[in-house]
This record gives sequence, C-alpha cells and structure tokens, in this order.
Amino acid sequence: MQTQSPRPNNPSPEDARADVCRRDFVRQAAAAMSGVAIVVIMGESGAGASEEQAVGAASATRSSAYDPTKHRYIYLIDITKCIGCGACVRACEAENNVPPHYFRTWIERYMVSRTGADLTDSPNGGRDGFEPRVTGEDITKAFFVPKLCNHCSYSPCVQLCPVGASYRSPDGVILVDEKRCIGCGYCVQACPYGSRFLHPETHIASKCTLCYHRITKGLKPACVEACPVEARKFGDAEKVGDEVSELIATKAVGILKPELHTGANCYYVGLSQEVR
Amino acid sequence: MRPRPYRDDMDAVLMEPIVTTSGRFYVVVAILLSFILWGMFAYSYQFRHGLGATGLNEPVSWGFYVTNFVFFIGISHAGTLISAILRICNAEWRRPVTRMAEVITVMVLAIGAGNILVDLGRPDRLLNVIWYGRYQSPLLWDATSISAYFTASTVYLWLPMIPDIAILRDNVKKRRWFYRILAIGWQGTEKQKKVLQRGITIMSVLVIPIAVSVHTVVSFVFSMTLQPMWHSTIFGPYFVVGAIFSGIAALIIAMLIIRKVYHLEGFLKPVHFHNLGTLLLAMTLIWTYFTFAEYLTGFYGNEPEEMKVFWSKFNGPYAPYFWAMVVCNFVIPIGVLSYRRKHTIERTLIASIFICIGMWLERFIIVVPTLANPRLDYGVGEYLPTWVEWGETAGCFALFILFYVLFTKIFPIISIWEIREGREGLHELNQRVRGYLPDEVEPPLAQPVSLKI
Amino acid sequence: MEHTKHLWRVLFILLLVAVAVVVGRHFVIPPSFGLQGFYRYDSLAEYAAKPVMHGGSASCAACHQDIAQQREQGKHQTVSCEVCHAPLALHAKEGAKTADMPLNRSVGLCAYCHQALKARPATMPQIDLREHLTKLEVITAKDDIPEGACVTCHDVHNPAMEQESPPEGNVSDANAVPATQ
Repeated sequence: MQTQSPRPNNPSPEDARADVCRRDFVRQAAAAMSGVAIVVIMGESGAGASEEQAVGAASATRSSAYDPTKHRYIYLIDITKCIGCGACVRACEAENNVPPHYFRTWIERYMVSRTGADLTDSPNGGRDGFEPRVTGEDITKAFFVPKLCNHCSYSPCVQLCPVGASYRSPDGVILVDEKRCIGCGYCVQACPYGSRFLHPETHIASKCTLCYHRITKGLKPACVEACPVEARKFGDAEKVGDEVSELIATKAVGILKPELHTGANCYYVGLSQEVR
Repeated sequence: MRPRPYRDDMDAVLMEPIVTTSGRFYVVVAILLSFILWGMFAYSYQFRHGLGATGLNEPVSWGFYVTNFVFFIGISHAGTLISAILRICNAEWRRPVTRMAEVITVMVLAIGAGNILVDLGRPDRLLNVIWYGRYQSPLLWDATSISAYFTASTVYLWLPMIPDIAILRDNVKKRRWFYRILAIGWQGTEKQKKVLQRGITIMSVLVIPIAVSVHTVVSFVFSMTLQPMWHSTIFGPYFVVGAIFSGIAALIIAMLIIRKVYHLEGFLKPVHFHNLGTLLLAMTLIWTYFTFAEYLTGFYGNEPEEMKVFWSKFNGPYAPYFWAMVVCNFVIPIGVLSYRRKHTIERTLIASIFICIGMWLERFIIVVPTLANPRLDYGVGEYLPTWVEWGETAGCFALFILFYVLFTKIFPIISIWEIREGREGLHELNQRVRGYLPDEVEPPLAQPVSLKI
Repeated sequence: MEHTKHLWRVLFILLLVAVAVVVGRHFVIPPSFGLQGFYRYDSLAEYAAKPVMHGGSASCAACHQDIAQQREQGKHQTVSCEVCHAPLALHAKEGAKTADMPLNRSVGLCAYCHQALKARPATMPQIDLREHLTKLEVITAKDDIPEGACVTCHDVHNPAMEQESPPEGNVSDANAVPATQ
C-alpha cells in the first residue's frame, strides 16, 4: 500500500496474511517441511547467489529499462460494451500463434430466458463471430462475456505445479516457463476459469501471457489493442493516475468466482449473476 | 482336523514351476508379449504424435492413463498392506497368501507410476521433478510416497524370501549365482532367524503407514484442486478403502489362477478364500458406506457446479458406468458373498472379478465426469479413448501378468519356509491360543456363580 | 546394539544420494532460478523477447497517411487497422514492405461486428444483411448475398453513407446511432 494509486479489492501479500488463505498455509507448511531442501536450493542458485550472477540473469529483462517489480497489471472488461465481434480472439491468435480451436482468450454469449434454460454458447471461442440463434425461448437479456486468464494473486494453478514451471511474475502475470513444464496437465484442471490448455504441438501448458512481449515494451496486449469498442482495458495498479485503477476504484465492478478466493485481477463492469 | 504327518517332499510342488517349464508357459508369454508390443507401439505412436493421438482433449485432459494409475496403485494395496496386517495380527492362515500379495504390490506400483509417465506431455523432462520438485504440489507428494512405498515393499517382499532363496541356491542348478547374491549368505542359524524375524516385523509395521499414505496422496491430487466432486475431505480414506477393496479382489483372482495352473490346491484351500471373502465382504460394505456418504453430501449441498457432475453420473452420459459400478461393487458382491458356505471358491472368484471391473469404473467415474463438466457455462467435454489408450491399457495389464508369471518361474510363489514353520509351530500355536484363554492355574472358585443373563 | 553398523550403512547411502542431488542441482539448475521466487527468472526475458505482431494503427499511418486520415474522420476511427487487415508483422518489417497485406472484402468480415444479434448492445449499429439488401432493392429475397456486398456501397474506412437513407424500420434506426466511443 505504498503508492497513492487505488488498489481496490486487490489485497497485497501483507493483507493476505490476515486473510484466511489456505494456500499460504500449505505453502508455509511445505516450506517448513522441506526447509533444508529449500535452503539448499536458495543458497545455491537463489537468494544467496552472488551479485554478478543475479545481474547477469536479469540483464535481458533489465537492458530494456523494464523493471518488473515496478508494475502490477490489472485488466478490466466492460460487458455492457462488448459486441462479440471476436476481434480480440483473432488478434490473440495472430499475436501469440495460438493453435486452432484452443484459446487464450475467448468470448461467451449468454442468453437468459424466463424458463432459465441454459443457452450459453461460445462457438469456436467466438473467434469467427456469432451467428443469430433461434432458440424458441423468450430471451429477456443477452450479452457477451470475454474471458481470459485472471492472473490471480493466489492462483490455484501456480500453487500445484510440481516443477516450478508455472509462476507469477513480479508484475503480476501468470506465466509458464516453456523450458521447464513437463506437461502433466495438473494446472489445466486446477484452473477454475478454464484458461489453460495443453498445447497440441509443444505438449506443455499454454495460456494468456497478457502479451508479455508487448506490455514490457509499453504496448497494450493484442486483445486490448484490437477491441473496436474499448470493452477491454489494460492498466497498471502501480502507476499513479492509472485509468483502469481509477475505474475499479470508482465504479461497480466484479470478478469471476469470487467465492473461490483466487484473487482474480481481471475485473468486469456489468457482471451479471448468470456468468460463471 | 488332525494334521497330516510332515514330509519334506510335500513342498516339492512349490519348486516345480522353477525347475520345469512346460510349453504352455511359452504360449502364455507369447500372447502377453503380443499385447505388450501393441502397447509399446501405441506409446511410440503417441510419443511421436503427442497426446493428440489419444482421446484426451480440452477440457478432459486426464482419462484412461490417470484412471489406470489410480487403479493400479489401488491394487498394490492388496499386497503389502494385507500381508503386513495379517502378519502383525498373527493370522495363521496367511502363510500361503502373503507372498502372492507382496508380489502384486511391487509389480503393480511400477506399472501404475509408468502410467503417469505415459500421461505426460513432455516425458523427456521427467527429471525436472527431481531437480525442480516443488513440495507445494500434490504430485510431488505422490512421487515421494510412491517411491517410498516401492522401496519399502520391495524390501518387504525380499526379506521373507531370503530363506527360500537359500533353499533354491542349495537345490536348483539354474541361476545359482543369482540366488547366491539374493540369499546374502543365509544359513538358517538361530541368530540369522532372529534377525530376519525382527526385520520382517519392523518392515510390516513400517509399510502400513506408507501404504495408507500412498493412496491418501493419490486422492489428494484430486481433492486439493477446487474442482467439483473432487474437492472432498473424505477422498483420502475413500481412496484407501477402495484400494484395499480392489486389492483383495485382485489378490483372490491371482491366487485362483496360480492355484489352478500350478496345482496348489493343497496349499490354497477353500478356507483361505473363505477368509479373504469375509474381508472382501467387509470392504464392500465399507466402500459402499463411503460412496454413499460422499454422494449424499454432494447432493444435499446442492452446489450447482457439483450437481452438474452429480447428474452427469446419475442419469447423464456417465450413468451407464456409474450404475455398472454400483452393480459390480455392491449388488453382486453382497449377493454372492453373503452365502458362500457352498461353492466358496467360485463365489469369491465371481465377486472378485466384478469388483476389479467395478473399481476400475469407479476410478474412471471419479476422474472423467468432473473434467468433462468444468466450472464454465458451456461446452461440456467428451472423452472417447482411441486405440492408443486401449493399446497402452492392454499393454499395462499384460505387462503386469507377464511380470507375475516370470516371478513364479524364478521364485517360489508360496513361502516354503513359512509353511514349514507353520507346520512345526503347531505346538507353539496351541500354546499361544491357550494364552488367549483364562489361565488354568487359578484356583477353582469356592462356590459356583449363578449366571443370570 | 550389535547391528547399528547396518544403520550407519543406510545413512551413508542416503547421505551420498543427498550429496549427489545437491551437486547435481548445482549443475542442472540455471542461475536465474529462485531469483524472484521458485521459478527461472530468465523465463520472463524469454517471454519479453517474443516478436511483436501487431503494430497498432499509428504504425500503419506512417506509410498510409491518406487512409489513416480517412479513418480518423469516420465511425471506424476506433477500429484498429489490423482488426480488418492483418498484423503488421506479416506486411512490413522495420518500415519496409515484406509482403502484400491480404484484403478481406467479404460480408463476413463486416458481419463480425454488424450482424444483428440479441446479445449485442443496442447502441451498436447492426443489421440483418438480407433484410437490409432486399429493402434497398440490391437483391431480391431469393438471391444469394453477393460476396463483397457491403463494400460496393460503403467505404470501409469511413462507412457512413453520404446521404442517410430515410428512416425505414430497424435497419436505419440502428444505422442512425453513432458508434460507441
């Protein structure tokens, strides 16, 4: 809480201590149990590593004057604006070379009727747009919900990676180390948002990176760049006067599945209770 | 029942499979090898084409392999756990049973763990689990627990085998160097016997918690996630119970096949099957109780995500498997095992076969429907295994049988020295049983006590 | 105890294994592992080094000044060039053209955004294409919709028609609403 920028609803790690957090419990218990092993690892290659080693390792990131510890990214989706055109899905595919029929971001169409029939669909993730649909139901409201990785603060996927391939970067992006992942698929099923998949060619877990190669250069993620109606917004909670932080602080926003206590960092304007 | 006079050559039948080999053996091995080759071909195909060659997909990314993994690890409980419990309880009827059980454990553990390897997208990076292992991950708990169990149960298989290996070393001409190494200089002296006995006791105490931990953490892989119908507190004991349940059934099947093939009717008598059948019946009831508790809790809670999975099992696409499981694991065993005074062996065999099928289905029913109904509002997943999965599954079962067959050709499948010890210890046993009763040296009571019930 | 030496042997083997793991780790684990947490910190740099595909509309304007200006004046000003065309990286590299930009003139491209859908916000201009074309008497009810039907009348970079057609039901109602900013 050291910056003036608003950080609504998004507890820092300090807050989490006070909060009931099962993951911290497991983490601490495990750390205590394997204390010796951890100390050895850290002592060898981690915190205790020599200074030049540390500098050398991070130089690739730091050479571009980008310091991950100075950012914390957040994402805002305005459901009331989304037109379901699928431009974001196509842009994501082109930007990140996403294999066909797999999605790092996708759009769901919710159609709510008086009978409560389940009419939600997402044909090809919304990549090819949506067709009008004759349901025979009395549709009372309908809307599009774009989804992507929520880059959770306490992410269930990172928690149970057996090899430390999934991690949360200092700037708040959940990434998969492409050289470490063994492709066990455990994180894929642990994600309650369905944002991960096993890549059919590399056979490792793949997911939204918030276009890490773009945001580290000051660009917006491809999906945000592509959205024609500004339904997707990308912000940095560490930046003073950040537009998204401001919106989150002042407007009615929600996150997906708050009951799971994942600390999702993807906020929604106009979130309806039908959305799961 | 009067014990027949003890003759040393009575045990010759136990040595026969090691000394002589019939043509039938080669036929069986050839059939098994053909299945194994099919499995190997399937895996090499999958290795080249990736997991896309299987029916695994998004969102059902775990299917047959994980089902096999859980099933095989479950079967492994037959062995060591049951044998250890029977040993500690001094159950005299255990003598011809224990080794068969212990062998199952060792073989099946390796195959079960192999199924996880097969399920990996990048098996070439398996060593990352050692170099970068994170103890926060239940998969690491699994790796630790299973390797500990494998080590312990191998030792526990080998220790009680030492005197038998020494018999082989002294009597069999083949592979003498091999037996000499494994017998580590056993001469049967009193001191050696004492040490061995202590070793076996220590190991049998040790393997029980390890065995329980193994299936507990296997269940933790599922229950530690937030997924509907996985995130359950009773999964640990539920899996352990299911493991012992399927383990006993597999053990009974293995015993019956060996009894038939190697003519061991004299050693494996109806009473053994009767006793194991009683255990099996008890486990049926416990398993049913757990299943009932698990599903009723989920149903009563009525959480929408849970209910999607629940109904997909009860009357949705997985209903045939679910109800087949109920029939195989509950209806048939209860019906068949409740009255088994006549046809004991046939009845336990029927129950065991159905339970093995039912428990495999149970594992499948736990793994797949949850994955097919993720916490999303659209796109229910489907899972249709391809020939690759069928091939590898068939290969796994064939490999297990082959291992077992080869074991019986190298080591006596029934513990020779323990049978002898049992025969010789009849007097001791008599004393022991007497020890359970009120001591006879007590002075008789002065006046008869009137018993009012 | 007379057999303690066995225990020492086991402990010695365990110690050897532990030493082997520690030494092996030293060689296997890359230096950046554990720098910021239990992961390889260099992985971040690898992600950061991936190629950028979309350059954004400003990068297009560097060469296509005229079209960019045209777009700025119309209702499609919020639509990034690369949404309808293709990512910049497929077309140009360091200011020089490497390949032709694919042009998509199909009605499907327009339909992504303008096909009338219940779930679409009402402020979005949207049409039922067949109804739109028959009402304007471009086609009869039986004809197939010609490929490129939209671009024959509308300028894709500034799509509003010079003269707005008189109000005729839903279609022009929708057209009359300005695009969301």
